[in-house]
Order: sequence, then C-alpha cells, then structure tokens
Amino acid sequence: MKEFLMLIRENADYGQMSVDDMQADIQKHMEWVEELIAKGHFKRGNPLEGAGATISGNERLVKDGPFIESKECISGYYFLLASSLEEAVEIAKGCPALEIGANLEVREVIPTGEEG
Amino acid sequence: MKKADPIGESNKQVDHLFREVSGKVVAVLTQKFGVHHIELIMDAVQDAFEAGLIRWRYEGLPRVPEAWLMTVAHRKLLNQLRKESHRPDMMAEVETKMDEAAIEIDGSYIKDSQLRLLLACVNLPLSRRDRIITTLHILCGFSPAELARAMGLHFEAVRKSLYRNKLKLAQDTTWIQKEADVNFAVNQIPTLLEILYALFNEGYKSQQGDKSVDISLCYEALRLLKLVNELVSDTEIQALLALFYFHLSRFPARMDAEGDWLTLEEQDRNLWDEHLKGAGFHHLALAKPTDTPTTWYLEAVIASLHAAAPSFDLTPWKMIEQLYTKWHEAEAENPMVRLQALTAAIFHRADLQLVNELEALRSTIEDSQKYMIDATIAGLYEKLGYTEKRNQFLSQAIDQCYQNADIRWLKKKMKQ
Repeated sequence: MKEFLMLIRENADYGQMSVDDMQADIQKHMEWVEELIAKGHFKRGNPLEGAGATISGNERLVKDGPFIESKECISGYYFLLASSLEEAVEIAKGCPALEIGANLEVREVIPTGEEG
Repeated sequence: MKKADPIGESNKQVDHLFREVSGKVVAVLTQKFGVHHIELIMDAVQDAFEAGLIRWRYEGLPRVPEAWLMTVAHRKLLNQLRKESHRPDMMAEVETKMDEAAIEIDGSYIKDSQLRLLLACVNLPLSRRDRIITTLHILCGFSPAELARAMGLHFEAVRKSLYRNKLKLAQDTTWIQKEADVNFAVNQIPTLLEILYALFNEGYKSQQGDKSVDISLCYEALRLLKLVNELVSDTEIQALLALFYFHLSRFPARMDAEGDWLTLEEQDRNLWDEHLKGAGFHHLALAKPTDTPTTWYLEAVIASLHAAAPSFDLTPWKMIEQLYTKWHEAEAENPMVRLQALTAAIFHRADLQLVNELEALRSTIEDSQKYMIDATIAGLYEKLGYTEKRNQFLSQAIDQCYQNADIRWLKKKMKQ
C-alpha cells in the first residue's frame, strides 16, 4: 500500500448552505470515512483552522490569514492508503466535499528514511 | 421521570436535528443579549454551524452538538459585539455578559427563550406569510433558499423580506416588557396557533402541488406546537395538536407511486400511521372545550371520525356534515367549510337538490377555487348514476383548474 495526501480546497462560502444541508454534508462525510476505514484506505485526516500565516522568501515576509475568507483555501487533508495513484483518484472521487464544489488534489507521499 | 414518546415521531425529528438546535441557540442568545441584536446573533449561529461543519466532517458529531454550538456561537457573538462596541456603554454591556463566561444550558431556560422568540415572531406587524417565513427562518433554521423552495416563492423575494422582517423584529420595543410579565404568553396564544396552523397547512398543501416538497413544514409546526404545549396549558393547543397528528397519520397514504395525491376514498387505510393516530386521540381527549367548541376542536373531531372509520363507506357522514355545519356557523365567511359540509352530505343523502345548494355556493368562492364546486357536483352525479352529467362537470372543473396535481386527478377520474 502506498500513501497519498489528499488536499481539500474549497470556496468556503458556506453562507448558501442551510443548517439542514450542513447536517446532510456531515452525515455523508462520516459515512464516507467509515467506508474508507472499513476498506483499509484511511490513515488519518484533519480539518484546518481558517486562521494561519504564510511566510515567504528570504525576507521571511509574513502574511496572516484568515484564509477561510479567500476564494479557495485548504480546509483539510487526508492521508489515504491505495495501491496506485489511479486507485487513490477513484477513492477521492467519492469525497462528499466535491458535491458542494470542492477541488481535491491527490499526491503520492514519497517515503523517506527507510533503508532500501 | 422521562416521559415515554408514544408518538414515535422522534425518529423523524432526528433527521433535522440541526434545525432544532439552530432555533434553540438563536433563542437563548436572543434572550440573553436582546432581540435588537438578532442579525448579529443569526450570523454568529451560522458561523458556529460552519465551524462545526468543518470539524465534524472528520470526527463525527459530538455527543451533545447543541452544547458545542451554543458555546461557539456565544463566543463568536461576544467577539463580534466587542468589535462593534465603540461606545463605552456598549462595552460595559458586553463585559457584564462576558462575566457569565460559559452559557447556561438549562432545559427550561431554553424553552422559555424559544417561546418568547416565537411569540415575538408571530406577533410581528407583518402579513401572515411574512410571519411564517420569519418564524421558520429564526426558530427552525430555514435558509432563504429552503424557504423559497418550501413556500413556492422567489429566492430574492424571500431574502429581501427576511432582511426587512429582521429589522422589524430588532425594533420590537415590547421585548423588554415581556420579560417582566410572566403571563404575557397566554393572551397571545390565539395568534400563535393561527400562525402554526397556517404553517402546517403550507406543508400539507404543498404535498398536493409539488411532489418534491417534503413534510418538514408540518413537522416544524408540530414541534413548535409541542413546545408551546409544554409551557402553556390550553385546550385549544390540545385541539390543534390532535388535528396535526390526525393529518400526519394519513401522510403515508396520501400519494400513489407516481406521486399523485389520493382522496380519502382512494387511500389505503392500512397505511395510516397507528402511532400518530393514537397521539391524535390522546390530545383530542385533552381538548374537550369547557364552553362553545372552537373551529379547531371541530376540525379535530372530524379528523378523528375519519381516523376511526374502518372504511370510506362506513364513515359517519351525517355526523361529519353536522360538524362542518357547526363549523360554518362559527366561520360563516368561509365558503370552503360549507363546501365540505355539502361534500359530506353527498355520501349519506345524495339527491338532486344538493346540486342547487352547491351552485348557490359558486358566487361566494374565489375564482381559483371554483373548479372544486364543479368537481363536487360531478361527484354527486356519479353517486346518482348520471354519467353524462358527471363528465360534463368534470371537464368544466378541468377547464377552470390551474393546479397541476388537481388537473391530473380530475383527468384520471374522467377516464374511470
């Protein structure tokens, strides 16, 4: 099994969602994660706070977020287990965040520090 | 001791947990900070739900989401108030409330807050429709989009009126006085029941027009009415509860597989929900009026007779006609009640004389409803065996009807 990082980018304008929509969205996510666990595809996952900072370049230019209000921000990440990128992509396609307009990025994690 | 739930509808309510919690959190914060902050409060609650959304997608719901949302919304509101409090007096207000760091979550405090806010919403100097959408928005967490869908209105229109209505609510100067008067609720109950009845009917009606609409409006009306019933003792409330339960009990049978609505005669009575029926009888027994029966009581009794009847033919039509007549005496301005009385008459004393009585109603009924006179006359002719006459009135009804579901039903009848 290889490890993949899945980043969730979404336009965090949840203002259009009703509380009922939110409840349904959470329900779908819970079911999806349960299914991932059952099939052995889930390693871990976490949401990210809206607040944060970017630090750039040699000048160490610090820019503070809240990024949650920017057009698209990373709202969370998952580490998925799959045998290939193709499989990881198929798994990611099931993520319910897509239904409310999220973009997902899936990248294989290169294992390091292991004696070849 | 915890009361048993003989109704069994609690399962269905779980489906809309967030709606209920939303109303509770808004009510508690309004109780605490005042109705003039309603806009900020609604925003804080929405923010709290968004924070919950992001977190709970990963870890699932906490054991008591209500407590979490209450705390987070409270904190967000305080932050916002602090940001906006340039004036020193405002600052003092916020700081005092800050002292009570964590917000109390006491069942009766929540219920009192909800009732108070509910009364404020239903008593707004606005049209009935505006009061309904405001109530649904503030106490049941309905978004403008949901409201537009559920009530058949345009999204922009809903958004604009909600904005105006919330301004009106924020200016409610009686809010402070109400706190002082513990009995304030009792004389406002009639208006409250009228709005909940209208809200219930919105959901009930919509079942006929649009099959995609769910019965959530009916369940919200029931939930709010149950809340009122816990705090105020009144036979009127019991009568309306009974009526809601009887109507809800028939929902599983109200439509066929294609989503077309079925009349009482066509419904499979085995599908009527026994638990809900039982709840209807339970509340009807508590609704016995001490003096003149109200129209809700009469309507609930009629519904109970249908609920108890083993079949359409074995329904006590004579008694039902008498009850509708009694109801019409109390509400003479409502020709639809008279129409119901005459419809009941068809099933126990059908004769040609009834045609005249039905025709006499025509001029009193709104144009959009006149097709119902023709449909009823068609039913009478069918009962009397005049097929040609029946078809004539059916096609007349079809010509005048603009409701798709009703047209489908009439056309189906025509083919039989």
